[in-house]
Amino acid sequence: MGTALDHPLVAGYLRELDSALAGLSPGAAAELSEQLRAHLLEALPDAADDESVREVLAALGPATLVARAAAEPGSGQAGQAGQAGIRQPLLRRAVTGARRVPRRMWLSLAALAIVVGVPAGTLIYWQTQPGVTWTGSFAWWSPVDSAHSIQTEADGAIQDTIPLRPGQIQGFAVFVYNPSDMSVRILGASLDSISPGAPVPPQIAVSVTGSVQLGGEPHVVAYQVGGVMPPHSYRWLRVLWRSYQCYLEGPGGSQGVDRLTLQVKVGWITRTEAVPLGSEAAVSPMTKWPDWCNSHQPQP
Amino acid sequence: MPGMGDRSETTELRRGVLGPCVLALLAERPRFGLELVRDLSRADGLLTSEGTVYPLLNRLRDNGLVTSRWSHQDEARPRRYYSITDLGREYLGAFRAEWSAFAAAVDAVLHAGPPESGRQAAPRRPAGGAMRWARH
Repeated sequence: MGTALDHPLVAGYLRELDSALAGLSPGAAAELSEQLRAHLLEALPDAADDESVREVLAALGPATLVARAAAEPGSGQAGQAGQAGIRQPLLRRAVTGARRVPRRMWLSLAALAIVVGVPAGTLIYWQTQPGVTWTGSFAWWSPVDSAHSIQTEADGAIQDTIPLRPGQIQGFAVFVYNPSDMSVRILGASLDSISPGAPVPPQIAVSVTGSVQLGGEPHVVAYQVGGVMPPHSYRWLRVLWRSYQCYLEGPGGSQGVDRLTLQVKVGWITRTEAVPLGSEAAVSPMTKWPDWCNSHQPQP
Repeated sequence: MPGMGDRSETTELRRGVLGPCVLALLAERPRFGLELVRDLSRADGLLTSEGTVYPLLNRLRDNGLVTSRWSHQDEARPRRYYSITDLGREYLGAFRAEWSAFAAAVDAVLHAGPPESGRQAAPRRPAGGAMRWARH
Protein backbone atom coordinates (compact mmCIF):
# COMPACT_ATOMS: atom_id res chain seq x y z
CA MET A 1 0.00 0.00 0.00
CA GLY A 2 1.30 3.41 -0.88
CA THR A 3 1.41 6.60 1.23
CA ALA A 4 -0.51 9.81 0.87
CA LEU A 5 2.36 11.07 -1.27
CA ASP A 6 1.31 8.62 -3.94
CA HIS A 7 -2.12 10.15 -4.27
CA PRO A 8 -2.38 11.66 -7.75
CA LEU A 9 -3.38 15.10 -6.43
CA VAL A 10 -0.53 15.08 -3.93
CA ALA A 11 1.96 13.80 -6.50
CA GLY A 12 0.87 16.57 -8.85
CA TYR A 13 1.26 19.14 -6.11
CA LEU A 14 4.76 17.88 -5.30
CA ARG A 15 5.80 17.99 -8.94
CA GLU A 16 4.57 21.55 -9.13
CA LEU A 17 6.40 22.30 -5.90
CA ASP A 18 9.71 20.84 -7.09
CA SER A 19 9.40 22.86 -10.25
CA ALA A 20 8.64 26.02 -8.32
CA LEU A 21 11.60 25.46 -6.00
CA ALA A 22 14.03 25.27 -8.93
CA GLY A 23 15.13 28.84 -8.25
CA LEU A 24 16.37 27.99 -4.77
CA SER A 25 19.70 26.48 -3.92
CA PRO A 26 19.59 22.67 -4.12
CA GLY A 27 19.97 22.35 -0.37
CA ALA A 28 17.20 24.82 0.44
CA ALA A 29 14.89 23.28 -2.14
CA ALA A 30 15.50 19.75 -0.82
CA GLU A 31 14.91 20.84 2.76
CA LEU A 32 11.65 22.60 1.98
CA SER A 33 10.45 19.73 -0.16
CA GLU A 34 11.22 17.33 2.67
CA GLN A 35 9.34 19.51 5.18
CA LEU A 36 6.26 19.68 3.03
CA ARG A 37 6.33 15.96 2.32
CA ALA A 38 6.51 15.30 6.06
CA HIS A 39 3.61 17.70 6.53
CA LEU A 40 1.50 15.87 3.98
CA LEU A 41 2.38 12.47 5.39
CA GLU A 42 1.35 13.65 8.82
CA ALA A 43 -1.80 15.40 7.65
CA LEU A 44 -3.18 12.68 5.41
CA PRO A 45 -3.84 9.03 6.06
CA ASP A 46 -2.37 6.57 3.61
CA ALA A 47 -5.71 6.03 1.89
CA ALA A 48 -6.94 9.58 1.89
CA ASP A 49 -9.93 10.42 -0.28
CA ASP A 50 -9.84 13.17 -2.84
CA GLU A 51 -11.84 15.58 -0.71
CA SER A 52 -9.45 15.28 2.21
CA VAL A 53 -6.49 15.71 -0.06
CA ARG A 54 -7.96 18.80 -1.68
CA GLU A 55 -8.68 20.26 1.76
CA VAL A 56 -5.14 19.70 3.00
CA LEU A 57 -3.55 21.01 -0.18
CA ALA A 58 -5.76 24.07 -0.12
CA ALA A 59 -4.71 24.80 3.45
CA LEU A 60 -1.08 24.33 2.49
CA GLY A 61 -1.39 26.98 -0.18
CA PRO A 62 -0.27 27.01 -3.81
CA ALA A 63 3.18 25.57 -4.41
CA THR A 64 4.24 28.76 -6.14
CA LEU A 65 3.30 30.80 -3.08
CA VAL A 66 5.40 28.56 -0.83
CA ALA A 67 8.31 28.78 -3.24
CA ARG A 68 7.99 32.55 -3.43
CA ALA A 69 8.01 32.81 0.35
CA ALA A 70 11.21 30.81 0.41
CA ALA A 71 12.88 32.58 -2.48
CA GLU A 72 12.20 36.15 -1.48
CA PRO A 73 13.30 36.98 2.02
CA GLY A 74 11.01 39.66 3.31
CA SER A 75 8.15 38.74 1.01
CA GLY A 76 5.67 35.92 1.22
CA GLN A 77 3.49 35.40 4.21
CA ALA A 78 6.25 34.31 6.51
CA GLY A 79 8.91 36.38 4.91
CA GLN A 80 9.42 39.34 7.11
CA ALA A 81 8.79 37.68 10.41
CA GLY A 82 12.32 36.46 10.65
CA GLN A 83 13.80 39.69 9.52
CA ALA A 84 12.86 42.89 11.22
CA GLY A 85 14.53 43.09 14.55
CA ILE A 86 15.80 39.54 14.62
CA ARG A 87 19.32 39.47 15.82
CA GLN A 88 21.75 38.29 13.19
CA PRO A 89 25.51 38.30 13.16
CA LEU A 90 26.62 41.89 12.82
CA LEU A 91 28.23 41.55 9.41
CA ARG A 92 25.28 39.62 8.06
CA ARG A 93 22.85 42.23 9.33
CA ALA A 94 24.91 44.98 7.78
CA VAL A 95 25.00 43.23 4.43
CA THR A 96 21.32 42.40 4.58
CA GLY A 97 20.48 45.96 5.53
CA ALA A 98 22.66 47.37 2.78
CA ARG A 99 20.97 45.19 0.20
CA ARG A 100 17.61 46.39 1.38
CA VAL A 101 18.50 50.03 0.80
CA PRO A 102 17.19 51.07 -2.61
CA ARG A 103 19.73 51.88 -5.27
CA ARG A 104 18.39 55.41 -5.47
CA MET A 105 19.22 55.84 -1.80
CA TRP A 106 22.80 54.72 -2.39
CA LEU A 107 23.10 57.12 -5.30
CA SER A 108 21.74 59.92 -3.14
CA LEU A 109 24.19 59.08 -0.39
CA ALA A 110 27.05 58.98 -2.87
CA ALA A 111 26.00 62.35 -4.27
CA LEU A 112 25.73 63.75 -0.76
CA ALA A 113 29.19 62.42 0.10
CA ILE A 114 30.59 64.11 -2.99
CA VAL A 115 28.74 67.36 -2.38
CA VAL A 116 29.83 67.53 1.25
CA GLY A 117 33.06 65.58 1.22
CA VAL A 118 34.83 67.21 -1.69
CA PRO A 119 34.39 70.81 -0.46
CA ALA A 120 35.21 69.78 3.09
CA GLY A 121 38.31 67.93 1.96
CA THR A 122 39.35 70.86 -0.19
CA LEU A 123 38.89 73.29 2.69
CA ILE A 124 40.94 71.06 4.98
CA TYR A 125 43.61 70.78 2.31
CA TRP A 126 43.79 74.55 1.95
CA GLN A 127 43.73 75.12 5.68
CA THR A 128 46.57 72.71 6.34
CA GLN A 129 48.96 74.16 3.78
CA PRO A 130 52.14 75.39 5.51
CA GLY A 131 52.56 79.13 5.92
CA VAL A 132 55.06 81.56 4.45
CA THR A 133 58.48 81.50 6.10
CA TRP A 134 61.21 84.11 6.38
CA THR A 135 64.48 83.09 4.74
CA GLY A 136 66.69 85.37 6.84
CA SER A 137 67.09 88.30 4.41
CA PHE A 138 65.89 91.68 5.54
CA ALA A 139 66.41 95.21 4.22
CA TRP A 140 65.13 98.63 5.19
CA TRP A 141 63.37 100.03 2.19
CA SER A 142 64.47 103.63 2.31
CA PRO A 143 68.16 104.32 1.72
CA VAL A 144 67.88 107.06 4.34
CA ASP A 145 66.76 104.55 6.92
CA SER A 146 69.35 102.00 5.84
CA ALA A 147 72.03 104.59 6.26
CA HIS A 148 70.94 105.33 9.82
CA SER A 149 70.05 101.84 10.97
CA ILE A 150 71.72 100.58 14.10
CA GLN A 151 71.95 96.96 15.15
CA THR A 152 72.05 96.20 18.82
CA GLU A 153 72.08 92.92 20.69
CA ALA A 154 70.80 92.35 24.16
CA ASP A 155 70.16 89.02 25.87
CA GLY A 156 70.74 87.23 22.57
CA ALA A 157 68.08 89.24 20.77
CA ILE A 158 69.02 91.44 17.84
CA GLN A 159 67.28 94.73 17.21
CA ASP A 160 67.69 96.64 13.96
CA THR A 161 66.60 100.17 14.63
CA ILE A 162 66.04 103.18 12.40
CA PRO A 163 65.09 106.70 13.43
CA LEU A 164 61.41 107.60 13.39
CA ARG A 165 60.60 110.00 10.56
CA PRO A 166 57.07 111.26 11.25
CA GLY A 167 54.88 111.90 8.23
CA GLN A 168 57.17 110.05 5.87
CA ILE A 169 57.11 106.67 4.23
CA GLN A 170 59.18 104.09 5.99
CA GLY A 171 59.35 100.38 5.48
CA PHE A 172 61.30 97.23 4.95
CA ALA A 173 61.53 94.23 2.66
CA VAL A 174 61.82 90.62 3.73
CA PHE A 175 62.70 87.67 1.55
CA VAL A 176 60.22 84.85 2.14
CA TYR A 177 59.43 81.37 0.89
CA ASN A 178 56.08 79.79 0.14
CA PRO A 179 56.53 76.11 1.07
CA SER A 180 52.94 75.13 0.25
CA ASP A 181 51.53 73.39 -2.81
CA MET A 182 49.14 76.27 -3.32
CA SER A 183 49.53 79.79 -4.62
CA VAL A 184 49.28 82.28 -1.81
CA ARG A 185 47.90 85.75 -2.33
CA ILE A 186 49.24 88.32 0.13
CA LEU A 187 46.33 90.55 1.10
CA GLY A 188 47.67 92.66 3.93
CA ALA A 189 49.93 93.01 6.92
CA SER A 190 49.50 94.19 10.48
CA LEU A 191 52.16 96.43 11.94
CA ASP A 192 50.42 98.10 14.87
CA SER A 193 53.41 97.63 17.08
CA ILE A 194 55.76 99.52 14.77
CA SER A 195 53.42 102.16 13.37
CA PRO A 196 50.58 102.52 15.86
CA GLY A 197 47.72 104.87 15.15
CA ALA A 198 48.44 105.22 11.43
CA PRO A 199 45.25 106.30 9.64
CA VAL A 200 46.28 104.37 6.56
CA PRO A 201 47.09 100.69 6.92
CA PRO A 202 50.50 99.57 5.83
CA GLN A 203 50.90 98.59 2.23
CA ILE A 204 52.33 95.17 1.46
CA ALA A 205 53.44 94.16 -1.98
CA VAL A 206 54.96 91.05 -3.49
CA SER A 207 57.84 91.04 -5.92
CA VAL A 208 56.56 90.12 -9.34
CA THR A 209 59.33 87.85 -10.44
CA GLY A 210 60.95 84.97 -8.75
CA SER A 211 64.34 85.69 -10.34
CA VAL A 212 65.63 87.51 -7.33
CA GLN A 213 68.13 85.49 -5.42
CA LEU A 214 68.36 84.99 -1.76
CA GLY A 215 70.11 88.03 -0.34
CA GLY A 216 69.78 89.93 -3.61
CA GLU A 217 68.83 93.55 -3.94
CA PRO A 218 65.11 94.05 -3.24
CA HIS A 219 64.91 97.40 -5.03
CA VAL A 220 65.63 96.10 -8.53
CA VAL A 221 62.44 94.09 -8.88
CA ALA A 222 58.89 95.23 -9.46
CA TYR A 223 56.19 94.82 -6.84
CA GLN A 224 52.49 94.24 -6.94
CA VAL A 225 50.05 95.00 -4.18
CA GLY A 226 47.92 91.94 -3.52
CA GLY A 227 50.47 89.90 -5.41
CA VAL A 228 50.70 86.16 -5.50
CA MET A 229 53.42 83.79 -4.39
CA PRO A 230 53.37 80.65 -6.55
CA PRO A 231 53.84 77.29 -4.83
CA HIS A 232 57.38 76.63 -3.59
CA SER A 233 58.61 80.04 -4.67
CA TYR A 234 60.76 82.79 -3.16
CA ARG A 235 59.61 86.40 -3.18
CA TRP A 236 60.38 89.69 -1.58
CA LEU A 237 57.64 91.19 0.50
CA ARG A 238 57.75 94.95 0.74
CA VAL A 239 56.02 96.55 3.68
CA LEU A 240 55.58 100.32 3.69
CA TRP A 241 53.81 102.58 6.11
CA ARG A 242 53.55 106.30 6.80
CA SER A 243 54.89 106.96 10.26
CA TYR A 244 52.22 108.88 12.04
CA GLN A 245 53.27 109.09 15.65
CA CYS A 246 55.49 111.72 17.15
CA TYR A 247 57.36 110.96 20.32
CA LEU A 248 60.61 112.01 21.81
CA GLU A 249 63.06 109.91 23.73
CA GLY A 250 61.59 108.88 26.98
CA PRO A 251 60.40 105.94 28.97
CA GLY A 252 58.61 104.46 25.96
CA GLY A 253 61.83 103.72 24.10
CA SER A 254 61.75 102.30 20.58
CA GLN A 255 58.83 100.49 18.97
CA GLY A 256 59.36 97.44 16.84
CA VAL A 257 58.10 94.23 15.42
CA ASP A 258 59.73 90.80 15.54
CA ARG A 259 57.12 89.03 13.47
CA LEU A 260 55.20 89.99 10.38
CA THR A 261 51.51 89.23 10.63
CA LEU A 262 50.11 88.55 7.18
CA GLN A 263 46.64 88.17 5.84
CA VAL A 264 46.82 85.62 3.04
CA LYS A 265 44.39 83.89 0.76
CA VAL A 266 44.89 80.19 0.05
CA GLY A 267 42.37 78.82 -2.42
CA TRP A 268 39.10 80.40 -1.33
CA ILE A 269 39.97 80.81 2.32
CA THR A 270 41.59 83.78 4.00
CA ARG A 271 43.78 83.20 6.99
CA THR A 272 46.29 85.01 9.18
CA GLU A 273 49.89 83.91 9.34
CA ALA A 274 52.61 85.09 11.68
CA VAL A 275 56.05 85.10 10.07
CA PRO A 276 58.85 85.33 12.67
CA LEU A 277 61.58 87.66 11.51
CA GLY A 278 64.37 86.42 13.73
CA SER A 279 65.25 89.93 14.83
CA GLU A 280 63.25 92.94 15.75
CA ALA A 281 62.80 95.74 13.26
CA ALA A 282 62.29 98.87 15.26
CA VAL A 283 62.04 102.61 15.04
CA SER A 284 63.64 104.79 17.69
CA PRO A 285 62.16 107.96 19.16
CA MET A 286 62.86 111.36 17.64
CA THR A 287 65.68 113.45 18.98
CA LYS A 288 63.91 116.70 18.06
CA TRP A 289 60.33 117.75 17.34
CA PRO A 290 59.80 118.25 13.58
CA ASP A 291 57.37 120.77 12.05
CA TRP A 292 55.13 117.94 10.69
CA CYS A 293 54.34 116.96 14.24
CA ASN A 294 53.14 120.47 15.06
CA SER A 295 50.32 120.13 12.55
CA HIS A 296 49.48 116.51 13.19
CA GLN A 297 50.26 115.72 16.78
CA PRO A 298 50.01 117.80 19.95
CA GLN A 299 53.42 118.53 21.37
CA PRO A 300 53.93 116.70 24.65
CA MET B 1 -9.21 54.29 -0.39
CA PRO B 2 -6.24 53.04 -2.39
CA GLY B 3 -4.78 49.80 -1.10
CA MET B 4 -7.77 48.94 1.02
CA GLY B 5 -9.31 46.51 -1.46
CA ASP B 6 -6.64 43.85 -1.05
CA ARG B 7 -6.33 44.32 2.69
CA SER B 8 -2.61 44.79 2.21
CA GLU B 9 -2.29 46.38 5.67
CA THR B 10 -3.52 43.20 7.32
CA THR B 11 -1.30 41.06 5.16
CA GLU B 12 1.74 43.10 6.07
CA LEU B 13 0.82 43.04 9.72
CA ARG B 14 0.39 39.28 9.60
CA ARG B 15 3.78 38.86 8.02
CA GLY B 16 5.35 40.88 10.77
CA VAL B 17 3.84 39.01 13.69
CA LEU B 18 3.91 35.44 12.43
CA GLY B 19 7.54 34.87 13.37
CA PRO B 20 7.07 35.97 16.99
CA CYS B 21 3.90 33.86 17.19
CA VAL B 22 5.84 30.81 16.06
CA LEU B 23 8.46 31.55 18.70
CA ALA B 24 5.77 31.96 21.34
CA LEU B 25 4.36 28.52 20.57
CA LEU B 26 7.79 26.95 20.57
CA ALA B 27 8.55 28.67 23.87
CA GLU B 28 5.80 26.51 25.42
CA ARG B 29 7.29 23.28 24.11
CA PRO B 30 8.95 21.91 21.00
CA ARG B 31 6.51 21.15 18.20
CA PHE B 32 6.72 19.27 14.93
CA GLY B 33 5.71 20.96 11.70
CA LEU B 34 2.09 19.99 11.32
CA GLU B 35 1.44 20.49 15.03
CA LEU B 36 2.83 23.97 14.87
CA VAL B 37 0.84 24.78 11.75
CA ARG B 38 -2.39 23.52 13.29
CA ASP B 39 -1.83 25.56 16.45
CA LEU B 40 -1.18 28.66 14.41
CA SER B 41 -4.29 28.02 12.36
CA ARG B 42 -6.41 28.13 15.50
CA ALA B 43 -5.61 31.80 15.79
CA ASP B 44 -8.20 33.18 13.42
CA GLY B 45 -6.76 35.11 10.52
CA LEU B 46 -3.14 34.61 11.47
CA LEU B 47 -2.29 31.99 8.88
CA THR B 48 -3.63 31.93 5.34
CA SER B 49 -1.19 29.46 3.76
CA GLU B 50 0.18 26.72 5.95
CA GLY B 51 3.01 25.99 3.54
CA THR B 52 4.63 29.36 4.10
CA VAL B 53 5.34 28.49 7.71
CA TYR B 54 8.18 26.21 6.62
CA PRO B 55 10.24 28.87 4.87
CA LEU B 56 9.69 30.99 7.97
CA LEU B 57 10.93 28.21 10.22
CA ASN B 58 14.03 27.80 8.08
CA ARG B 59 14.66 31.51 8.26
CA LEU B 60 14.27 31.52 12.03
CA ARG B 61 16.67 28.61 12.17
CA ASP B 62 19.18 30.47 9.97
CA ASN B 63 18.94 33.40 12.34
CA GLY B 64 19.71 31.26 15.35
CA LEU B 65 16.28 31.64 16.96
CA VAL B 66 15.12 28.10 16.36
CA THR B 67 16.72 24.67 16.14
CA SER B 68 15.27 21.51 14.69
CA ARG B 69 15.83 17.78 14.93
CA TRP B 70 14.32 14.85 13.11
CA SER B 71 12.53 12.14 15.04
CA HIS B 72 12.09 8.74 13.42
CA GLN B 73 9.98 7.07 16.08
CA ASP B 74 7.47 6.34 13.35
CA GLU B 75 9.47 5.19 10.35
CA ALA B 76 6.60 5.90 8.03
CA ARG B 77 6.13 9.41 9.33
CA PRO B 78 9.39 11.02 10.43
CA ARG B 79 8.77 14.21 12.34
CA ARG B 80 10.93 17.25 12.47
CA TYR B 81 10.69 18.92 15.85
CA TYR B 82 11.41 22.63 16.25
CA SER B 83 12.66 24.20 19.48
CA ILE B 84 13.29 27.78 20.47
CA THR B 85 16.85 28.81 21.38
CA ASP B 86 17.99 31.15 24.15
CA LEU B 87 18.44 33.82 21.52
CA GLY B 88 14.91 33.15 20.34
CA ARG B 89 13.55 33.60 23.85
CA GLU B 90 15.47 36.83 24.19
CA TYR B 91 14.05 38.10 20.94
CA LEU B 92 10.56 36.98 21.88
CA GLY B 93 10.74 38.83 25.20
CA ALA B 94 11.82 42.01 23.45
CA PHE B 95 9.08 41.66 20.87
CA ARG B 96 6.42 41.09 23.50
CA ALA B 97 7.37 44.31 25.27
CA GLU B 98 7.38 46.27 22.04
CA TRP B 99 4.16 44.73 20.85
CA SER B 100 2.27 45.59 24.02
CA ALA B 101 3.19 49.23 23.75
CA PHE B 102 2.56 49.27 20.01
CA ALA B 103 -0.83 47.57 20.26
CA ALA B 104 -1.91 49.90 23.05
CA ALA B 105 -0.91 52.92 21.01
CA VAL B 106 -2.78 51.68 17.94
CA ASP B 107 -5.84 50.84 20.02
CA ALA B 108 -5.81 54.26 21.58
CA VAL B 109 -5.81 55.91 18.17
CA LEU B 110 -8.30 53.57 16.53
CA HIS B 111 -10.84 53.85 19.29
CA ALA B 112 -10.35 57.48 20.12
CA GLY B 113 -12.39 60.36 18.67
CA PRO B 114 -15.28 62.65 19.40
CA PRO B 115 -18.47 61.22 20.91
CA GLU B 116 -20.84 59.69 18.36
CA SER B 117 -23.33 62.55 18.81
CA GLY B 118 -20.68 65.03 17.83
CA ARG B 119 -19.61 63.19 14.67
CA GLN B 120 -22.78 63.54 12.64
CA ALA B 121 -21.41 66.15 10.33
CA ALA B 122 -18.12 66.21 8.56
CA PRO B 123 -15.77 68.87 9.79
CA ARG B 124 -15.85 72.02 7.73
CA ARG B 125 -13.41 74.83 7.63
CA PRO B 126 -15.25 78.05 8.36
CA ALA B 127 -14.36 80.86 5.99
CA GLY B 128 -11.50 82.83 7.47
CA GLY B 129 -11.46 80.81 10.64
CA ALA B 130 -9.97 77.70 12.15
CA MET B 131 -11.44 74.25 11.53
CA ARG B 132 -14.10 73.35 14.08
CA TRP B 133 -16.46 70.46 14.72
CA ALA B 134 -19.99 71.31 13.65
CA ARG B 135 -22.38 70.42 16.46
CA HIS B 136 -26.08 70.05 16.06
